[in-house]
Amino acid sequence: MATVVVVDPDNGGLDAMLAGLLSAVAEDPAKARLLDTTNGTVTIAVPDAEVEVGLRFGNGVCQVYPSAIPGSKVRIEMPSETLMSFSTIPLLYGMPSVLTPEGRAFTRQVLTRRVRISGLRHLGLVRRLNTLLSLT
Amino acid sequence: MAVFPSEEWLEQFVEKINASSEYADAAATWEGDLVFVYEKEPDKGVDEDVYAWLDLWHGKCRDAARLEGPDDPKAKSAKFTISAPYSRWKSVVKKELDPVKGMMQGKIKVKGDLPTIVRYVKASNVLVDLTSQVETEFIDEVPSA
Repeated sequence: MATVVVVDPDNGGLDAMLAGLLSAVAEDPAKARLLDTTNGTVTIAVPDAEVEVGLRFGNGVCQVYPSAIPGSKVRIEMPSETLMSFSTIPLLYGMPSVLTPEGRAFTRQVLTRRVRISGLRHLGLVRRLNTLLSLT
Repeated sequence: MAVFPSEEWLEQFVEKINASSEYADAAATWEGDLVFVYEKEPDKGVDEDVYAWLDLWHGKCRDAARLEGPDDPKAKSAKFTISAPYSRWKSVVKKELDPVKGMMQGKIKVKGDLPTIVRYVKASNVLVDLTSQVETEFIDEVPSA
């Protein structure tokens, strides 16, 4: 049973927002199955808001930390505006679809380093994260 | 000039919402009410939490009211509640604090269905921009009589 846990419920920032989003999408049985079978650690950094959160997936649980997880397999940095619109970008095979204007705009941000993704060798984890966060 | 936060300020805010074609477009499919909580800061002249309720529907504000408090049925049943201390709201209205960043930093607390908020982030930004268009006098800056 997919579960999302906020490690520091008093923080109430991006960690709570991501936890709220993941909890809501996990009500979809397909997303719940995906969350159940996801393993790994991800840090999401939002430099312009000076916020970092860590996601630790394992055993059907996603723990959401109000800080980076040292040694995360994947680290994603993006501006706050991009992160807020990220969930609405259509995906193709778990990655932003370059067949859509939104996907192309995101890809442009990756190419211009406004969005930085490290740990792409864990592409499966990146795709799963994208799919879990997607509302499309 | 309306004093923030007051009933008069809320009325002028609603006028701005209903006159905004940008908000009408961005929130064309939005359905749901919203409560803003301006948390008390007695040293700034806000002696108790202020609850402002907006009934937002398809790009318009159908109704608005200042509520009695958290036990008001409208406050209890609102689809979304956004809370912050008065001075944080003042920073938002003065465009010194970006509300999205404020939410991410935990300076502004959001309660409600996150996927909906994420889908309507543009509408939220327009709504916040409209607050800065209201000619505002802040309660802690009003000269005492």
